Amino acid sequence: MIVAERKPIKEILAMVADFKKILLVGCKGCVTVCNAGGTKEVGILASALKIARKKEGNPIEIDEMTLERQCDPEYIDQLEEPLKNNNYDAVLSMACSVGPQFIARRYDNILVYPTLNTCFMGGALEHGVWAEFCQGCGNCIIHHFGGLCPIARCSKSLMNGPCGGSAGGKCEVSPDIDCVWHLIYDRMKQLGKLDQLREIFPIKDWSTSRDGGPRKIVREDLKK
Amino acid sequence: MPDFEPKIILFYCQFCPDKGINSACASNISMPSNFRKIRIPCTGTVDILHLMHALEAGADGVFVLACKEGDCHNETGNIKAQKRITYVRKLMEDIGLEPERVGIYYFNSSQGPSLKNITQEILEKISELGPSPLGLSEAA
Ligand code: SF4
Ligand code: SF4
Repeated sequence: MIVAERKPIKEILAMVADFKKILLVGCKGCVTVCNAGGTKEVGILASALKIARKKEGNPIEIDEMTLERQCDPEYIDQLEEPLKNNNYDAVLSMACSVGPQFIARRYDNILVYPTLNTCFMGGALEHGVWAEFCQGCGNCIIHHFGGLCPIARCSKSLMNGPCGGSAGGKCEVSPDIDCVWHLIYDRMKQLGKLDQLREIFPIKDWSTSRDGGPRKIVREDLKK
Repeated sequence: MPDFEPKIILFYCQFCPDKGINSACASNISMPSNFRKIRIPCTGTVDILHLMHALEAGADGVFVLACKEGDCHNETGNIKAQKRITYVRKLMEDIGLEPERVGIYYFNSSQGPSLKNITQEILEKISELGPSPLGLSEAA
């Protein structure tokens, strides 16, 4: 899933400083699963903003809504009625940053703000802890490395690791980061495939990644 | 602020704290009238939103009365409540509302008489802070 976290409340308060009425829109997709922008988080943020503004004697009206997803146009269409029937000063999205862009793309007459920082593609290591697992390089090669990704999970994205900074299973960048090359070694050993690591992995073609510019996938069989 | 009568919302667990409150009543120690008590199945059910909405509605203080560590009938309800309170206090700090308006106390059935100390401490703390800027006390 896409993992995100809420922006600092002061940053969001500064965004809405001049507004009297806003629409705060959550998303039931990834950001609900990572507890950043689902219905509950929309409620908490709305409440915090209202408390802060009421305290200043400058109340703000906030309508709350959570869409099925904010990365599909048909759900973004559901904002049409509320936007038509209310005089909102702005829309604040609690989706990953795809959401506010989809809203801005669909409605050209309303200001749109992100309330989350979109961080990475990852998963939950335990309840309340998420880690990065994939960088979306566009050409997955993890099967060469025991199923672990050296691009997203090695601080230097080394294809032929480890580097000299690997110590006791930890990365030299921080004792909080597992050295993925240590994990790759352990796993390949376990699988009886250590000899595969003797091969030098060729330079990766990054054109499938961001180096080729913004990417697009077209499925002719699905297109209307 | 001589006329200030703090409005306190108190969520309390149906197990140890409930028994403690009953045993306090049996010893003629009652909950001050400005405490609005809300009995809940476990303090683990107290949600961040419940605490926020109580503050938003203008409560001067919002507190949770939980079973002591290790006594929770659902094992970790009181620990979850503590973590949520920490979260709300941080949020309050960020928006400039006194975090001391929210808190947790641990209380069990054998501690009936200490209920008075807890309510007294809460009242003193909130009286010192004064009415919530969100105004329930003023409106009352
Ligand atoms: S190799 Fe590329 S696609 Fe595969 S997990 Fe790593 S970054 Fe993601
Ligand atoms: S210590 Fe490990 S994870 Fe860190 S940069 Fe070196 S090889 Fe990569």
